[in-house]
Amino acid sequence: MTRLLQSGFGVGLLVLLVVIGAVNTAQLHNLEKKVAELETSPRPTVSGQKEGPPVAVVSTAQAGGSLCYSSDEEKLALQDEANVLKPFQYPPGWPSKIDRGGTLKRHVGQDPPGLNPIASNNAADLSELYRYMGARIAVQSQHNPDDWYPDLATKVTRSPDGLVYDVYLRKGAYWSKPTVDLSDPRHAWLAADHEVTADDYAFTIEMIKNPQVLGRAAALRTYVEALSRIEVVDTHHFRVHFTENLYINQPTLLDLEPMPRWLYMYDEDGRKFDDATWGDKQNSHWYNQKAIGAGAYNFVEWEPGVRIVIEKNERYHLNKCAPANFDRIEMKVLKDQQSWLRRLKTGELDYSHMQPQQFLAEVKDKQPYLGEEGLKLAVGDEASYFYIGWNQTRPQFQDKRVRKALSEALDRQGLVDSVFAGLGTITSGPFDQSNPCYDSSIAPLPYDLEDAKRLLDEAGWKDTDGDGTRDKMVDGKKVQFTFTMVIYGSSTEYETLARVYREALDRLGIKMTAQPLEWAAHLKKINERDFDAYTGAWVPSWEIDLYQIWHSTEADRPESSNYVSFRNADGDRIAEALRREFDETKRVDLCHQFHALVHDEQPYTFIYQRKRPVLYWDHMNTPIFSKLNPHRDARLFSFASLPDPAK
Amino acid sequence: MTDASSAQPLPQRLPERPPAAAEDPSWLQIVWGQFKKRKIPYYSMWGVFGLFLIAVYAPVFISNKPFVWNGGDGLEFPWLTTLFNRNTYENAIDIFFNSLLLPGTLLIVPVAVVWRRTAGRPRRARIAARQRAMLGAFGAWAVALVALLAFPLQAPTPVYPEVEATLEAAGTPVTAVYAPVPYSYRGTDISKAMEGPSTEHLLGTDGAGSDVFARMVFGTRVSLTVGIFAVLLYITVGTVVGAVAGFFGGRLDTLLMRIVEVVICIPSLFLVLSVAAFIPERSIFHIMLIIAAVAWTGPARLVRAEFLRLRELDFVAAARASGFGKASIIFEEILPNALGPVLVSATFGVASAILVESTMSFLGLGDISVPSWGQILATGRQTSSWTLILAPGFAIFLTVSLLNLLGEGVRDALDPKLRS
Repeated sequence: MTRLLQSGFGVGLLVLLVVIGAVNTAQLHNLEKKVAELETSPRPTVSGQKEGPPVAVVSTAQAGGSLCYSSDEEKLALQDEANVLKPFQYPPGWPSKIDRGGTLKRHVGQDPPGLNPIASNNAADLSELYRYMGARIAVQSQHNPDDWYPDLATKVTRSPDGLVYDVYLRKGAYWSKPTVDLSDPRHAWLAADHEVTADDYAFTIEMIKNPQVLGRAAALRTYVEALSRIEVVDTHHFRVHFTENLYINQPTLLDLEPMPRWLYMYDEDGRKFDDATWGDKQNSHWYNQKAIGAGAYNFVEWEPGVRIVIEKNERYHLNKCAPANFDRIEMKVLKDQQSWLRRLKTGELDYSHMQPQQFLAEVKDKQPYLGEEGLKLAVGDEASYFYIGWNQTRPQFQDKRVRKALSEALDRQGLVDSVFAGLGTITSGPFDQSNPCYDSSIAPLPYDLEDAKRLLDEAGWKDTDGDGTRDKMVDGKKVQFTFTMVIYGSSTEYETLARVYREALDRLGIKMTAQPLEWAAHLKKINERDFDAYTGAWVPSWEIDLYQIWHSTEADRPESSNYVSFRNADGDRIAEALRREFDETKRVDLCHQFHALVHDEQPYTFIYQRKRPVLYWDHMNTPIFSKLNPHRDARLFSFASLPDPAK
Repeated sequence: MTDASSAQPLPQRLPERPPAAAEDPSWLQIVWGQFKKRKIPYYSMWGVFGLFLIAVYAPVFISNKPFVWNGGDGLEFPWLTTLFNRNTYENAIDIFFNSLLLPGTLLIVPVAVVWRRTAGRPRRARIAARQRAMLGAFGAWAVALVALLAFPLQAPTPVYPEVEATLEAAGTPVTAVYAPVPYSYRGTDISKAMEGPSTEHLLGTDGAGSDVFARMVFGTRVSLTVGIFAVLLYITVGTVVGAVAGFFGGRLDTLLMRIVEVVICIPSLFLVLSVAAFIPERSIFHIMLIIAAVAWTGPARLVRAEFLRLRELDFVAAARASGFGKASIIFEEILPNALGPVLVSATFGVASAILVESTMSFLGLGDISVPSWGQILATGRQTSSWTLILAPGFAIFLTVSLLNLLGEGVRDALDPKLRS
């Protein structure tokens, strides 16, 4: 023992290894959560692959708005009146010339937490990857989100009471080959071709409903609560039964991405998992570091910390209408935001988005951009909104007059103009401003410190002891109006926002401390309700469902999305009515009622709806931005001419 | 190991030295004489002192509270009355420096008086009187500081330039005398965010519209405090560990040195960043603690080495033979002789602590309520603003260079072999 002690080298090495291991694990864990950063969608986001002209190397594409059928089978199915799907249509602004092929080089901010679309943690980059690689029952139209186009299904019918859906899958849609060495006898069992079948969907539902499965499944389960049973009629036909006719049933079903039973139900040697533990096995499945789909691209490799590569699927079932625009897509993992524009300039990337302050410093009014004639700028709208959430279990934030005062103390227009570089519009409610649900007649509260003082006085928060901080007796105890706000740690924009807000609150006699946190720690605090206030963002899905964020039952559920514990009887009533209302006019009316309610209650201080600037090289066509996803959707991007491979 | 002390006869008490005609120079005087001979370290010392003065007297030049104010209700002195107000200077660092500024400056007067009066007295009496005066002044200041920190003043403070504008708009004449730079380091004005240098804002403004010059100058306070306190902290810990290990040797030494080696094995920046990520509400004092937690091993090894050398010397044997306790041998006999190298490493340590704090702020792991050079640098990098990169960059470079030059000077002055 003494010798061991004296060999400091040995002990040191041992401890170093342990520490490195621990730090490494902690980092990986951080990354997992960090990846979830952008994926703030109340509902797992939508997808599919469906925009694109017929196969050709160089082609003049169909103009935006023209129809396209992938097969005669599909055309026939769409003639059926009962089919809820619509014929595929090219989005407006679809480029007239697309040079197909080449490698699209782009970046992602962090590694995905794993590549299992259901058992890995929910993450923006992961769901984006599956938008290229995966296939769904149907694809939501980018420009008309109420329309769904055929993907794996050619026909979906709905019973008059809305409780039963019949899904008819197309023939000839194949799973891509697993990315393993098929010549190795160990993997010989994976060599066969597999069609996407009704049984794969049965497996998918079993997997989502299996409580052993963690990760994204936990979020998905809240959306399939009303789905009682899936009945396989034949290989290409299955029937889905719901217990209740809810508005979200149809979009949730159509957006469903299948999982291959023939792969995920088996271990690496082809042995089937047993019925009691197969769900648990998914969380650490041998194939979770790889991906499989039936979409426009096949998975090639994921080098953690370096890149993810996918390549064109030659036998994609929608190749006639919506083939892959690129031979390969290479997503470099670039954690340092400062390096994005530099790499764009040197041609390592074909396009890149940027942070507001970078935009202000290096791009805005600075043509040619980055000193390169070939770079162009596009600014895309995003459906996301940013907000400050007030923990309504804290005595400070229980009175709506106080929350109003806090909103009035934030100079939102000033912040958007300067700190956020004018890239966005201030907002007053929890909906995308282009969604009819958003009531544009409700103006955001003005920046008005005098009125804020009046509201605070009215609510009984006064500086009774002359120490410069407001206070109030709550349940016999004097509470000082101080609080801590958790902010995004990785962005100067939010640090500046906190500093500006702090000064304004200081004038009101409120002491605020800002706490910048890494995303993992940020998320942990919010999930555990261990915060006074925090900065957050949501990407509301097109079909509004208020349950997840606003219903009082969610406030009681641990780890639910009603982080701020918003409890309002009227709000609950509207959320419940909206789930059961199918009439568009009435739905909009309910949304507007809710918008007015939220504006009055101010459970959040809504900050702004963001716009995203993107710089791209002129060998690309003008990017079309997805209204539905907060991400750069490479399916909508294409080359006008292939880039010089030497570059 | 042989015990040398047991074999040797007890040292005899030396007769009193006859009083010298001229006073012999003390050890400090010798070192000071050596130090003064090297010009660059000597001027660096004054440079560091200058930085310290800037830190202490920052509010005299930069404050948004007027020295004199008359808004129609008679004369007021907001600058003076808010100097210790925690609503104006919320950070303890500022209260510390402000306490040096006001009671501190005043306390120099009695010390200076005693200094002059005792000039002609014999050495012992002179030193005793001067020590008493300094101790008294220090005590008075320390009591004032503790009182200010324990019983914070917390009156609400108006934003005077805005009150002035309102009053003048209403037709009330206002008299107000401001500091040359009438901004506070925490005041924001987003309508003036990211402006370039101008006569109004000497170094422009940052993303929140705060005056960068004000933040830079108050940043000096943060950097110096972090440097000095973190170093004091880890020197103390390191010295005790090193002294104990070096003096006792054996198993205790082995154990302590293995712990030291384990801590050294961990890449320090890595550890700093990991630890910082686990502290929920980081303040500048946490950052000092973190720096101290990784850096104490250096002085521990230095002091241990010195102790291994010194404990074999005759004067230690003498002390043992005279029956001194272990604690007093360690701390009163050996330690003062072992502190030379520690002093040198401390000066370098201050410089590196400042760098670590800047790095942490730069990476967004600092305390955002205090103005830090690293934080300004991070803003500069993200916004590609040259003034925001160059100003803090130069400040860090200057401070670290001055401290390193000073450290080299101290090292040379302490080295008897280099004495000419």
